[in-house]
Amino acid sequence: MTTAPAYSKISYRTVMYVLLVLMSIILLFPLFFALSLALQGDTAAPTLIPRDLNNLDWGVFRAVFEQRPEVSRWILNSFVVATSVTVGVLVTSSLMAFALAYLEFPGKAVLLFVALGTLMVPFEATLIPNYLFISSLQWKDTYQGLIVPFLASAFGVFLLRQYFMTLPKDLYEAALVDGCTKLRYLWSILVPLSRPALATLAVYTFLGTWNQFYWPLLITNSTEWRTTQVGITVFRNFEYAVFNTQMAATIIVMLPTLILLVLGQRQLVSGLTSGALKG
Amino acid sequence: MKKVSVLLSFALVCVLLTALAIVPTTAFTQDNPTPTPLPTLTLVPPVPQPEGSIKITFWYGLGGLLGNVVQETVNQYNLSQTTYYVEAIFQSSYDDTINKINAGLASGDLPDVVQIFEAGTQRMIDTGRIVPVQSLLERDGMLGLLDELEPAVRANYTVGGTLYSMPFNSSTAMLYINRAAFVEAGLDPDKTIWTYEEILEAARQLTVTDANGEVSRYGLAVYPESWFFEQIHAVHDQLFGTPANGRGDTRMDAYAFNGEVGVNYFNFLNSAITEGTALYYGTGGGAAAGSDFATGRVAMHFSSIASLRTLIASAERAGAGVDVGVVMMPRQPDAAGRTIVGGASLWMTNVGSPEVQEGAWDFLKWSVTPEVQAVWAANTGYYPVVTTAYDQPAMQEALVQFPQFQVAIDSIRMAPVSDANSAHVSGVFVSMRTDVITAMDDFFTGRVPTAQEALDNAVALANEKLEEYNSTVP
Repeated sequence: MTTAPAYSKISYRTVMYVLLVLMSIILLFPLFFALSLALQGDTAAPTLIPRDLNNLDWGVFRAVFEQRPEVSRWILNSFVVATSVTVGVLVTSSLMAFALAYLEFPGKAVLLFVALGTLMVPFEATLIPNYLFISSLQWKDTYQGLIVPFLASAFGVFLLRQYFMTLPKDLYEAALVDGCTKLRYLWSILVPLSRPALATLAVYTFLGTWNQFYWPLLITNSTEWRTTQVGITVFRNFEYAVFNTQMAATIIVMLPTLILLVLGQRQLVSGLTSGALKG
Repeated sequence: MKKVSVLLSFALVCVLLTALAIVPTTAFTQDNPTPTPLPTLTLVPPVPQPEGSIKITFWYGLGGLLGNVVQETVNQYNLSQTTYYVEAIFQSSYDDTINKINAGLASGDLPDVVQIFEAGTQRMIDTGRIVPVQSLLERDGMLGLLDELEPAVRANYTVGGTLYSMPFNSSTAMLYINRAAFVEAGLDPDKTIWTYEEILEAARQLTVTDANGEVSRYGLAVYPESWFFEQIHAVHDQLFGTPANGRGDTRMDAYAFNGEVGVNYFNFLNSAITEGTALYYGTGGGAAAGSDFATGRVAMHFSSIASLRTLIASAERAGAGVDVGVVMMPRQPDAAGRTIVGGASLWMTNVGSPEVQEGAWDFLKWSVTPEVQAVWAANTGYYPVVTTAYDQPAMQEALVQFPQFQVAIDSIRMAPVSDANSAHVSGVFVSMRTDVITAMDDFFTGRVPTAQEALDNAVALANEKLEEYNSTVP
């Protein structure tokens, strides 16, 4: 009687771990494949696993920086842009979400629907007007040109508003009775309580901005103002199906986000669970 | 899962960072000495702009090794004189370059010179912001240059009797063969013109099945690609679209590639697949097919002549004894055309001041001088766009080192130029290619039973888009 549950527990664990390992292999396969292609030299006939494991071309990573020293500048640009946009979106979204969730003012419902309505307009439709506006401000080849159009996000407003609505209204009223100002309430109570939602929004925004392609391509021309995704296309060969430097460059520009994820994992996970407990 | 993936990704990061830190630079080229050098993989920094020179903006879409050759060529121009300075700006790809042009039309943020692929010709003409090259040739009394251009190349960028853009990098389609396998199978590797029937028979002889019944070498690699299909129409002197492939005075208003020529080509490839003498790679399988060709797994492979050096170098590196040769695109016995030109040309816009436009024109004229074209061709896989370049030592050396180029040159000179054997021009060229690729894949995988039906579908889709496009332009 007592051994049966223990046995099933062990087999459950085993199955779980096997599944998890399989999942990790699937998730890591593109990385592995990129690394494998990068290390096989400039050949159009690479194999899944390098033929000669003793003769791997690790110098390809060095070659990327030698061929395009701007790679580090592109990574810096992407970092500045993605971080600024993330911070901006968090600030603007939480302010507007707070107004929509807690304040009473005329036209509130209309405002919400207008904000949500912008989600229905595809990015491509606003591209040309945005481009004309930004270039008339002489913001081509600048950080503000890359950052400002993305500082507000209807998706962020909606996400945070929905989250704020789940928090007990009593908390807000109690805080006001105790003499807490609205901004103070937002900063000291709402934001800490909403860490899971904020973390989700932050990760989503950061990755979305990091991976932008078309806007940075339009709004920048000089090599030093390119962002990573636009910049690394210079490694893609044309008429030559040779992938080594292209893959090496891809791995290099992926590393910063990967490191961020590895370092931030604990924070992100604890943020999610602590929020879950308190909420 | 989190733990495992975190650990694994952390390990990966560590390995990469260590590798970056300790590896000597020279490891990159030392490992595999190869007698066939690819264009050098080194930094080509732009030369500085001399004071007082007029700046010409030039957008280009060639990345990687070829992009370096572009920058090198621009550097040579900038060092050759001090009046003008060309600033070369890489715009990610041919497609992105034309997209960026479209976005810039409204604001006038256009470059002075731009490299556009052959599929963009009609769209560039329709922008209304370009200066036809021929008008400047006329102004300067330089119409003689037209006769120096390779006839096939000149035809490719001429619409309604006007040369619109300056040819720059030109390629054509070839069938690559493994000469060693041909000799082994008792086939003649020096025969350059093959009919469909002959290729099917060769594929049977080249296919090797081992003791376990596994195929160790296929005769032919097949993957869906519209460019080869367009080539086939030119080879058979058959219009791809009417009227006159869009080359005449009126715009092309209907695609017509669902005729006998298209159906026969589809059936030819499909027979090889169903006989088991061709390996089908599926959509986007070009790189995989090239890889299998270089390692000897397939004996024949369709590709651009511009891939020649990579395939030779890769075959040498793979060490499977593949001897890279080229033959012309296979055809029916009565084929009377030639292959067409791929690649890109340089367009001039009218947005700059008169001095800037003069500078752009000066750069264009310089880019087709025999010396420049010879060096360009010798360092890439393209052939020169002016016939005078063949007298240059650089080009003669290249032809001695890579005799395969001669087959490509013969292939575009096979027949006198006509509208039918010049590529078509249309505003929906790029999306039409997707329709052709879908038709091929549908037929080869059996989703659509006949070649005729697959092609009828593609023509209907392409015509719908063409009609829509034509209704938006005057």
